[in-house]
Amino acid sequence: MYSKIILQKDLPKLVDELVNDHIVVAPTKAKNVPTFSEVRSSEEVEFSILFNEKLPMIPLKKIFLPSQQTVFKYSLSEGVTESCEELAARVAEKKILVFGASPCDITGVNVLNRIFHEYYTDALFSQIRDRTVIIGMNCLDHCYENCFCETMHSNDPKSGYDIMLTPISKTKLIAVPNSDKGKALLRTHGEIFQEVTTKDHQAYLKALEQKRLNFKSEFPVEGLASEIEDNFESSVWEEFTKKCLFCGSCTFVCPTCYCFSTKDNLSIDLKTGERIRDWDSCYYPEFALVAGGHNFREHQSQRFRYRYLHKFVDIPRRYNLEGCVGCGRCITYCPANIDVRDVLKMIRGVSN
Amino acid sequence: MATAKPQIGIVGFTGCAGCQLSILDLEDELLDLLQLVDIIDFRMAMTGNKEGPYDILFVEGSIVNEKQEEELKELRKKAKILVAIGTCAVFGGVQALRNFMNDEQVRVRQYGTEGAKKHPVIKVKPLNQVVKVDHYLLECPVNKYDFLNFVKYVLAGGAPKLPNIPVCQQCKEKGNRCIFLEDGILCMGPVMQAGCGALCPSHNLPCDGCRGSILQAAYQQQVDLMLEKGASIEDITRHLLKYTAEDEQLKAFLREKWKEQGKKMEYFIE
Repeated sequence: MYSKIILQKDLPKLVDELVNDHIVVAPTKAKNVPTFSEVRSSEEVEFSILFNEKLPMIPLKKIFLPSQQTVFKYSLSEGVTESCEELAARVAEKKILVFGASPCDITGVNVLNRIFHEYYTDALFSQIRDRTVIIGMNCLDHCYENCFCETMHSNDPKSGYDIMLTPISKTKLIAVPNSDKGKALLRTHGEIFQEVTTKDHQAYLKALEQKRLNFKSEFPVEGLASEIEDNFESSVWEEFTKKCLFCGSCTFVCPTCYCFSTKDNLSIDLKTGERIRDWDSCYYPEFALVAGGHNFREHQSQRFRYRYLHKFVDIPRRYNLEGCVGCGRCITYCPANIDVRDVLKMIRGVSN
Repeated sequence: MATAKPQIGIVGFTGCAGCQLSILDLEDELLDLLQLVDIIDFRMAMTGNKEGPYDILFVEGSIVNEKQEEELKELRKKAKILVAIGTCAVFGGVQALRNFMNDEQVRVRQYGTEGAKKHPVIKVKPLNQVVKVDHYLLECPVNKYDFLNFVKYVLAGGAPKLPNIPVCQQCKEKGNRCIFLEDGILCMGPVMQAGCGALCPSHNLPCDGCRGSILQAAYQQQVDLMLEKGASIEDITRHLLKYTAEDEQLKAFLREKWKEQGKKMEYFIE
């Protein structure tokens, strides 16, 4: 049997072994905010985040699409001197290991993977994704009031992780591998793990059954894309525009918001430079500004609506998956208390 | 060709001289910068200054009396490109709060009844109320890297582009706790220009917008939300106008807001 048992008290020991040959990224409490950061020992890991299931503020996208990233280098006389592909090939070979990703965050990475790896090949994204191993931490219930993962079908990803840890009792977790990398990892660190007994396996099945019972969908997403399109001119957009600060916080904490802008950084001798991409938000007035001065979304209400169109219409239709994972971060970190569920419900209310 | 190097001046009017100090603080880059330009006028840093002509003149500080007005007009004539650097030069700075007070009161308080007669003052003006300003570099004091990038872009023949993103973006990038959401601190980050790396909120201090507001800032929503959470219009105004008292658009908006509250916007510092 590939699956193994690990005692909860041995998780720090596992992390301490993993840091030897991986860059380990795990939930921490840097600056008093739950966050994913690189850790050098288990002492830096905030295990309570895993078990109390509070989501790190910035999701895993920050590993795969960092807020600032050099995409190519150039010389003013010779043009591109180091392409995106060359830059990607040059970066460190050390494996990255994400420890304790929640199922919805894994689903979020899968959305990015579909767009940046499967539909298009973004060399930088791909090289980071290829050398990353993900150990997930299963959720058996909604983690907090803003979570609506069941609605968005994100709490049971079938791929995109290498091992899933599921608590089967107060002291034990079962580690189920989901890839060859995951199996290899369980073998390499075999001494920390125990064999799965029949009783353990029954407890696992019971936990999964409990999970199925605990998660409730808040509203059907079937037909949502068309309903939003039908209500393109709805006054609901305008109503929420009166509350929204357009600070963009929701977009930065969103696991699937991937938009970026680019800027150039010239060297001081003015001979060379690098093109940098950094996070951008469709809530900002210059997001849809193009050369010549035309702005495709000049008004706040157009920008407010656009994010919903992208998430709930465009991504599902173009990439055949949900554009929202229902993690609720945009609700938690919205200074104006806007709830994406309310917006969707009100938009649908108009059509009924 | 040494003579082909652009001639640069860095001068200051009323302010704390912190912007000029920030430029001097570019210790790792200054020598390289001197390969690109000749600094011919920088009284804070050197002797043997020459008053123009300048290819680029950087001006710190606001204009607070008629003599300065004349001086600035003369400087403008000698400069191909005039750049306002820092909050005072761009928006008037903290001293522009004086514009909400009666001139007479201000002078008597500062110089005594007799002294007041000898010190005529005018409304505090950002540079663009006196002369044409070609470019603006923000922050209090001016962001030294904005300054450096500006020089690089002008010399490379490009148009420098300032970011137009709110402070919230940089707070999120840095993984900061939201002090508005969690502590109820009146932080103006959502409507104010970033570029500072969210410096104040990173130290649990509210953003008072020393870089001025972003384009199409959601003032209405921001102020309504803060009023709803129990803040007074006086407090909100203090935060919003602390550095940018001469931001006409913002002032006009706040005047309306005070009116809605049944009040007349007046000097609110005491």
